[in-house]
Amino acid sequence: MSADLRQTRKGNVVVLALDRPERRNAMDISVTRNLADTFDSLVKDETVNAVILQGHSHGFGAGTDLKALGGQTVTEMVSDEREMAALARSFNRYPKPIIAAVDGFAIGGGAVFAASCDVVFTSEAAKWALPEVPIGWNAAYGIAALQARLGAITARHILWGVDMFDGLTAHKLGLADFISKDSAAESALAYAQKLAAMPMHAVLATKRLTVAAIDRESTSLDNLAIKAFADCLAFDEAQATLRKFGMVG
Amino acid sequence: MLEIQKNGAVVTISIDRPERRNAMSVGLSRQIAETLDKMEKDNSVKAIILRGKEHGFCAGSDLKELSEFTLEEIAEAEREKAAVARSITFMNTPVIAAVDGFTMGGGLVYTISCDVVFTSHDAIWHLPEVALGWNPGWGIQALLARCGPVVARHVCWGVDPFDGVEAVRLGLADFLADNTAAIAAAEYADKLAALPEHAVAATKRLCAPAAGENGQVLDLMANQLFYESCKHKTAKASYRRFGVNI
Repeated sequence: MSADLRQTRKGNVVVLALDRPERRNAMDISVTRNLADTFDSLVKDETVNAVILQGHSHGFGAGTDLKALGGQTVTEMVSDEREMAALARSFNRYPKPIIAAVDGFAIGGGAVFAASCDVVFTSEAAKWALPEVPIGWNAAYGIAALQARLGAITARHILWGVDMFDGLTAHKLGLADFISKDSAAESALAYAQKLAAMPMHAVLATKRLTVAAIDRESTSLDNLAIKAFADCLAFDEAQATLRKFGMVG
Repeated sequence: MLEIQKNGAVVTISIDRPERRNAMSVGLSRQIAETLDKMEKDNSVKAIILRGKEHGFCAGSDLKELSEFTLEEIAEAEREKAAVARSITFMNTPVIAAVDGFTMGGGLVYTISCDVVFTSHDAIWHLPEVALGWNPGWGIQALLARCGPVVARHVCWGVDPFDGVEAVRLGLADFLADNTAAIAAAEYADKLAALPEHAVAATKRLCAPAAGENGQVLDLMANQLFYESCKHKTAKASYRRFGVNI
């Protein structure tokens, strides 16, 4: 466990909190791998019945940490996105419930990671945004997760990211399942503890029943999205964004 | 166990087992199946309402009835109920559910397997299966068709019951009744029954493939997982509380 991911035990629930305040909880490849390893190790821990994913402070997550990519080539950047895609995609098949608690903000990959969780809590005031298209490329993964939550039509305009929206709208659209007046983290914990107290074999059997319906073509959609993402990087607007963050265009 | 009333072209089927909170026994499920079949063949019937006579719609499987059953027989009984619920989508006659009071477990799944669902604001909706130690044994396709796979997952986990307002928000129910769901459903059924019957039936058939899609496969999978879950010690403990030793 490195400093940028906090792990707390609350009975049979583990809370994983991104803690990169200086980067608004954006994800680089190291914290992505860290998260993947942590999820792997929690599968084997029989005392863990549910996992909560949240941000430690500020917000849930700001997506890919573009600053961390300074000096990277486009090929390296695409490769990193592919690893993030695989992690987000794995949540649906993960053999324990994963609950997202969105306070503050969920931006870009952060919003997609939240939407990829089984159950999503958001505070009313949390800011949700998918700013990929405005900065010159498409969301590189998570299309299937968004479609499962929103349906094909709403997923498309949410992915265009024309406007930011708040937790109330996220709840109305189905990006979030439950709304909290104040702290989503507190509501998510109360829910997770109730879920974790249920017979776990039945919770898992139930999760398995809906895996295929959520997973419709998620791998091929992620592959398409990453290819389209790489293609977008050649365009002027994307190049300008890359230069802004010090990347080799 | 069933009260059947005909009013014009609309037949209302009311579950009437007040002493068992309208729980679904195998006998009741068979009676519903036979009644639906009879109404489907009766040309004078243009819409069917399914409701509970008192208290609530249905409290789910009648666990007390199962005391004489082996686990294999319980799983078989669930398969039979699954087939009845699944068949509603493929009938020509529209079936409208009216939920007042409560709808739980298999009762909830029966409810949402109907074509149109009315609920009162304060009706209690809940799937308590997982808390008892097993997964919902059927009806996943009906949930998928109504609320999509993500909502279906957490509704099946059933961490907390919810009311009719939330049921409509989630898509489990279609209409929120100002007073009782039974009255609102009756008004709707009268209007639906007055429409050209062949066009109503053709429309229902057009929507059946999408609504029913993987119903049989998912029911089979759910039944197998249900059977395995019931062997677990927490499930056995729940059954024992209802006098069932499996």
